[in-house]
Amino acid sequence: MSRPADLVQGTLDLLILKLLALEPLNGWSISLRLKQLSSEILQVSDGSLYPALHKLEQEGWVAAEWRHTENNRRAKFYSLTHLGRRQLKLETSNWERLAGAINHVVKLREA
Amino acid sequence: MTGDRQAGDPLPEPIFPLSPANEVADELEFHIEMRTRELVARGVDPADARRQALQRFQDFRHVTDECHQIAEQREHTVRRTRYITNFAQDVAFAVRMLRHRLGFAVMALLPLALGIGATTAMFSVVDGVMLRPLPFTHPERLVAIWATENAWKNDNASAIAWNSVVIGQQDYDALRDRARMLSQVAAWGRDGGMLGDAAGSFTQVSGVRVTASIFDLLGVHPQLGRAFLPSENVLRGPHVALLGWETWQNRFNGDSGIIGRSVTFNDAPYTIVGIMPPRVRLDRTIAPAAIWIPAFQGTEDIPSHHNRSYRGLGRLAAGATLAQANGEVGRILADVKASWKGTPDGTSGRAVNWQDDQIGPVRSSLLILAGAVALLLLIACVNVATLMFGEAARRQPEIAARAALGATPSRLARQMLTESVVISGCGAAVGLVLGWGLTRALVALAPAKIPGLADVRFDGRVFLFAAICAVATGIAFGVIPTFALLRWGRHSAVRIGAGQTARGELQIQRALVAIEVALSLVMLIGSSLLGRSLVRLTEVDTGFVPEGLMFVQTTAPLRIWADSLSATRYVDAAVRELAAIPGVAAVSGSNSGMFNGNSSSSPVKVIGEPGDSPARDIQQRVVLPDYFHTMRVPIVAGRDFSQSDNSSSERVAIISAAEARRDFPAASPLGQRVLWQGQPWTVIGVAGDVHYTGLATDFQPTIYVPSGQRGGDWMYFLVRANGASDGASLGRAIRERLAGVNPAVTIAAITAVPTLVQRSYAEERYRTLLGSLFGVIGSVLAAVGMFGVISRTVARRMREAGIRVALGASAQSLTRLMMRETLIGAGIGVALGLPVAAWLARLLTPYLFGIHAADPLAFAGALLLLAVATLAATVPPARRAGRVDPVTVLRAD
Repeated sequence: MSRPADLVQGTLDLLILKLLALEPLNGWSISLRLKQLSSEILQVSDGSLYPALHKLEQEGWVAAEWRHTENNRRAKFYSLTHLGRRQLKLETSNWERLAGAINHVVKLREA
Repeated sequence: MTGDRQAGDPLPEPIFPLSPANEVADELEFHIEMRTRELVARGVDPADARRQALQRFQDFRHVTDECHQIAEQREHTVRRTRYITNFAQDVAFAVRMLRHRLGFAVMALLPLALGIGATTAMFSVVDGVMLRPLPFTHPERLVAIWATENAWKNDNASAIAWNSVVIGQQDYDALRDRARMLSQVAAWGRDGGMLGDAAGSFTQVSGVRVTASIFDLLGVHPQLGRAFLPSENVLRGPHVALLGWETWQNRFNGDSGIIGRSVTFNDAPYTIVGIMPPRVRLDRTIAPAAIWIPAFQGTEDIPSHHNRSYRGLGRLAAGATLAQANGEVGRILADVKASWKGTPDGTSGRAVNWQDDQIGPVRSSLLILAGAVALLLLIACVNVATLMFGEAARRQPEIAARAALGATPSRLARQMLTESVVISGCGAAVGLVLGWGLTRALVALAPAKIPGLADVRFDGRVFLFAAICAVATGIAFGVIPTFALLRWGRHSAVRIGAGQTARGELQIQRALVAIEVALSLVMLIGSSLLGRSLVRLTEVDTGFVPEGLMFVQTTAPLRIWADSLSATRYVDAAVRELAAIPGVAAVSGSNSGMFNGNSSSSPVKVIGEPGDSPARDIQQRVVLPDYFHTMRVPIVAGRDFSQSDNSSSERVAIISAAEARRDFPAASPLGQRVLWQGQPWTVIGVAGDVHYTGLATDFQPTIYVPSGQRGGDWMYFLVRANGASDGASLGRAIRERLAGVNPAVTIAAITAVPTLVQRSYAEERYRTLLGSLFGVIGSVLAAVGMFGVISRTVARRMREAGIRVALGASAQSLTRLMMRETLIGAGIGVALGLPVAAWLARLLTPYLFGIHAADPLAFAGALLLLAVATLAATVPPARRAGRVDPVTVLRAD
């Protein structure tokens, strides 16, 4: 497997929002799911995940509540809010624009 | 994978939510545990696994802290929003509830409006007079400079003003040149006189003489034209003048062409060189000066021992303190005096903050008044608290129900306090309207001596104060009922049926009544003392008969005055004409007025063996013939002046009884000689003592000399009418006759002497008026409070009353039963209030005349009034209980 890429700070928010759009998750599950869905390429460092989650909560893009997990442990689950959905759309389009531009430059044929 | 499927419902919001710190810890702990488990599942040693899990956070401490911070911030924002929404809800709820209980709301509103209105009015007066800084540059650095004469302290006549002595040109020059603690010095003095314009019309105005330095000192310069130059402050300097703004607008129509033209002031021409800005006042007890002229231009200001008539003003130098300036001024003025007299003689000087100096005499008065108003507000608060308390008893079921449905104690308390604040807010709104009216009344009725009354305004500061008052009183009177209610209302089951009261309720109600009664007793006693004092003052024998006497003040153009012969001719002719008016019984006059704040004195010495007595100050009057007869002052020894006492006969004088007591204690003064104004006079008579300046002071030693032997003074006329004539027609006749003698002489004022006497105690009258007002309002509030308490008691105990009547109790005994609680409360109030009142009454001692602060009559009067009010308030509702129909009442249950 290739070395997992370090995630750029700004895109972490985008990824978290997208994951939460699919279903409410706690911090641990987010980290796990991300690894899963990206075939181990994307790994978020534990130290950046939780501050990012709290910031998202402060902005009002995600809401949190405490629930029991399957094996009856208490954990803090995050879900996407209405505002968060709008933010997700915004960030997705920004990303696509950025990625497209990078792609375009990289694909230029060498002279 | 484990642990990533949601399961179960969300947990309910915990009763005591976790602090953000704990939440973060729990959240991260979960993650660590899951990671540890994963590592163990992969074969890592369990002890090691946890360490590795922590390591993956890199700096766990830092991450935890960062999450804390964000969580706390969020918590903060949420709480604030919730607060505001809750508050808005509470206010809306309170307003709704009050609309349902309109009667209660109105009854609560009135005392509050009264209390807050009075307090606001008082604040606006105190603010305008004392608190607001003077409208000059850095007014806190301005100091008033006075000379002090230690020698005067021993002299009865002058003792009162020993440390507020005016200064002269020599003092000013010395201060200007040598005072290092003062960056600038100025001198100013009031100067009344006739202002004449080009059209030839004259009016009596108030002007000021100022040194050129005053403009820079105050930071106030003429709006138009120029200020004075220092070179103009010299003897016979150029007659330039500045017009006051108000005079310029009113008298000269704001015509800027007046600059460069000439007006006459006290018969001398002055060229106007500028106009002062509006509302500039050096003396805040009167209107802005009409005309400003340079100081030191007249012969009466030549540097000399006797020529002192200016008030000093200074600005503290940068870094100088008041104490330093004070000391320096004292030394400089002492030196000046010593250089005239050759030796120091106890003269000194002082510098004091200018604003403090102006309000000094009235400060304590105002503060006591403010205290009384605060008491009134307190009574109003207690009144409303009693009311709310009664209401709270009725609302117990409602509160209990709300508590059962989950309202927290703090939420309930906040709601009720909000209700109180809403009530007091409405009370404040009404109170502001009342306060505005009260302020205008206070200012209009106030005696002129209070400086700065014209600065009293109803502005933003006053509104802010009213708002603060409203919130404070709302909380004050809301607190007791709220906590009482919460303590009992929440825990009790929903109760139906009236008639039961918790023991504590009764006690609190009794306490509230007691406090109200105590406070109003204090106010009643205060106003009673002031009232008695005023009565005593008005009873003082003036020493003459004011009724039927008219005081005529004329102003003459300088040319008549300058020549003593023409002055005498005018006066003689005037007296003849006035005596000829039908209805006039006697005419005389004197060169000194009465009750106008002025007095004139000079030293007098008894000549004789074994040697001359030391010189003492004596009040002096030059009088026209028939003076004592016109004034109805008795001659208690010797004889009155007669025709034979003229310019060619021996100089004779009459002294007052006080002077006889002071300087001739052993022998009779008749035939003895005194040295006065540089000449010997023989005492031929002793006249009864007369109060010329105020009723509250001792009789001043006075010397009278006949005008024939010391003529040339300008005279005030005294006209005594026989009983029948009426004041207005007499006044008209006087004017006509005097105009006939010499039309150039104008009548400045014709006043009935009893009015002058009354004006002398205008300040006491004002104080008593206010005191009585407060006393009455306070006792009305207390009575209304007691009325409310008894009415509620009766309403609540109707059933019990019905049973008692059915069992044969008499109406009277029932009435007494209902009144018991309230009367006990009132009794406690009196017991508390009396010692407090006696103690506070001592504060009034400086304002009491003829009685002491524990005057039994005043106390008795106050108690009587209170008793009457209490009975009036408690008996009628209590009697309703006696007239109850048992059948109706018992059936209604």
